Amino acid sequence: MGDEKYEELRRAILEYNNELAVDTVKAVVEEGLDAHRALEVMTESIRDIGDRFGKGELYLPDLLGASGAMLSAMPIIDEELKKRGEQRAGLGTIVAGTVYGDIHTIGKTMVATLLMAAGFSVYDIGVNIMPKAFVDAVKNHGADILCMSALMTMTAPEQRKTIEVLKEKGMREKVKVMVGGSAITQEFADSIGADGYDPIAPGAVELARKLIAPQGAGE
Amino acid sequence: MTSGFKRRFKPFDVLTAGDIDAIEGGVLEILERVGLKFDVDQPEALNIFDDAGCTVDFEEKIVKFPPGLVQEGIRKCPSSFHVEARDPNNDLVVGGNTVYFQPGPGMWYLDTETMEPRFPTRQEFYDAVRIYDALPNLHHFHNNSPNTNIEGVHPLLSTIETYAARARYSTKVNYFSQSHESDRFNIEIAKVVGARGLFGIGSASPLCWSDDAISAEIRAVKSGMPLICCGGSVWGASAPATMAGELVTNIAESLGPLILAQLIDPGHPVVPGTFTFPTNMSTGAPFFCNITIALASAGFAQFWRRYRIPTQLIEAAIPNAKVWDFQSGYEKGMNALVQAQAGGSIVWIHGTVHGELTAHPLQAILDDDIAGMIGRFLEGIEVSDETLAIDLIEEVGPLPGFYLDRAHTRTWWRNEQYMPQSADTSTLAEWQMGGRKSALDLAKERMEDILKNHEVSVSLTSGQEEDIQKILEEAREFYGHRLDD
Repeated sequence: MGDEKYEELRRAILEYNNELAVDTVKAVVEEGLDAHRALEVMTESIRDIGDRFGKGELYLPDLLGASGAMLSAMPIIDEELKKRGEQRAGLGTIVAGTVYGDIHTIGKTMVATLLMAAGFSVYDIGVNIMPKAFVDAVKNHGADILCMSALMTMTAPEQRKTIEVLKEKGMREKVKVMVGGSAITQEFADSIGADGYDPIAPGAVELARKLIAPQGAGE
Repeated sequence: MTSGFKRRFKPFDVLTAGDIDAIEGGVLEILERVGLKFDVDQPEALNIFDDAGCTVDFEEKIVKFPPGLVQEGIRKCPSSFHVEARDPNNDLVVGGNTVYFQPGPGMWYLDTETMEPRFPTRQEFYDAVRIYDALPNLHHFHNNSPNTNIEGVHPLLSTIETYAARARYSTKVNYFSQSHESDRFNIEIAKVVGARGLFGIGSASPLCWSDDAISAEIRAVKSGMPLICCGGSVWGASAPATMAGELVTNIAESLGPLILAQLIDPGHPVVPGTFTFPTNMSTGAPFFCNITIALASAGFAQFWRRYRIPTQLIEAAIPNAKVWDFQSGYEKGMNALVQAQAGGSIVWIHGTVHGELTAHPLQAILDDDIAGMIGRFLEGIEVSDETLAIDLIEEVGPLPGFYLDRAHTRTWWRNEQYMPQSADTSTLAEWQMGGRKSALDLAKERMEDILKNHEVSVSLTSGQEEDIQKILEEAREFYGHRLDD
């Protein structure tokens, strides 16, 4: 019985069906099935889509369709886990957004989806995000990594400002900062004290894995 | 007065009259039912629309336009207008069958040693401006050309510093743009040098205009600067994935500031423009120079031709190519040729190497030949007693008749042919014996020649130089501590 629901959920993600994803997750919760398992199934499905995207078999509308279905069901999972006093299982928690003054969304959404597919718990907080709002989100979600996107040289300094606010709040040592976007270079990332940068969206996954690994791991 | 290129034949149509009616119907419906968001900090624009009879939601900043007001705004737009340059020989008359070519912006300069992008030094930027000034088929500048940034100059000041440099090292018309209120200072620089600029703003698609754009538009219109308003959508991301749907949103977006300009200053010159691309569904970036852009922008130009309103079509200057190669040539050439034939008044092509990210004057020299070739194509075939040459054909007769030694040939051949400035036109043997030079090699030689010999036609007076320095100082004070970031 439970397996059928999880398979239905898998189908909802793979067919980009928001309504089915929401209904199925609701049923999982109502029937007392495992919310962690539901999250796992959705993550596996997103990973499948992500892999096929990486191979050039699928395209962005597919990637966003699948992540949209998963995101539409996530509040129900989160609410259930909160009731139980539990947290999402995953590689780590990431807050992602585009900086203040900048409304470019595609690159940020690609990175957020690929990170989600890789098993990270991702909170995509949108575009035009003020430094304080980034910092508040990091605090509220207990994020391990903050991802900031900036597409314009005019808005790139917002990444520096956000890092400054993290320092002011005494939170800089608690969170790794990844930056990206067309306006960003390795040199700029280094100059603002970011922990990581990659010029392409898929590179964010490996970078996040490295940043979140325990010190000395893999050496 | 600079002539640009005159298109001698009718522009071609990619849409039927019924298609245009359907697009127009869709635009009016969207503007009336959905409206446009004007995300402004001050209510001036919203008040103007409210007073004109629009339905304005001041909370959500949404303006819905009655169809009659849209049509009235379109009717008030002039079909052509004059833009004064620092040297009257470089003045523009935008509209009618004239086509101008302008450069695109490049955030970075391309280091020719490493082919890596980096900011240009001041000297490299100044040299690039002088080279652009020397190119005969580059008729005016973009506000971020040759490059957006200069090494060591804060991004907030770059638009102003780069305009000051263009005003000094060129006499061609400039183009300003919304950028953190830099227009306040660029308009003053234009006044100092006795020129007007084209003032470009871009939408925040879908169906939205930012405060930066609209505040700048109001200042520009009140200062008498002709306005260029571009929809900035990416099909499938910030506009429908279909070209017809994209045309509806793009035209609707460009109409917002067009109507605002007519309400502030009836008869104000406005040029609707395109800055739209399909989404590259693999990378998420815009799919630069996809041939469907030429098709959609031809449709856009055709729509506005119905009202005799000039258009700006920019996408030929935003290639997918990363270096000056075969791909760069066909991407730029094919798109610009279509756009110029389709009735675009301003077509961008020069200087950009990849997207809006890299630009270099060598590329501009190569592109100037493409612009020149297209321009010659537009000028068409002159048919007159002189060019028909019936008397001459009779006089020369059949073989061994010969035309090369005739006065008619000497008089006419230069008018009839286009002579490229940097393309290799030698015979195979000449090429082999002459060092096997490529077009790029020849462009490098031309660049060196320009840098050695080109003089700007009119220098700034010492008074103008001093006034520009004062304006730059005022800009530094205006931005204050924001320059510390």
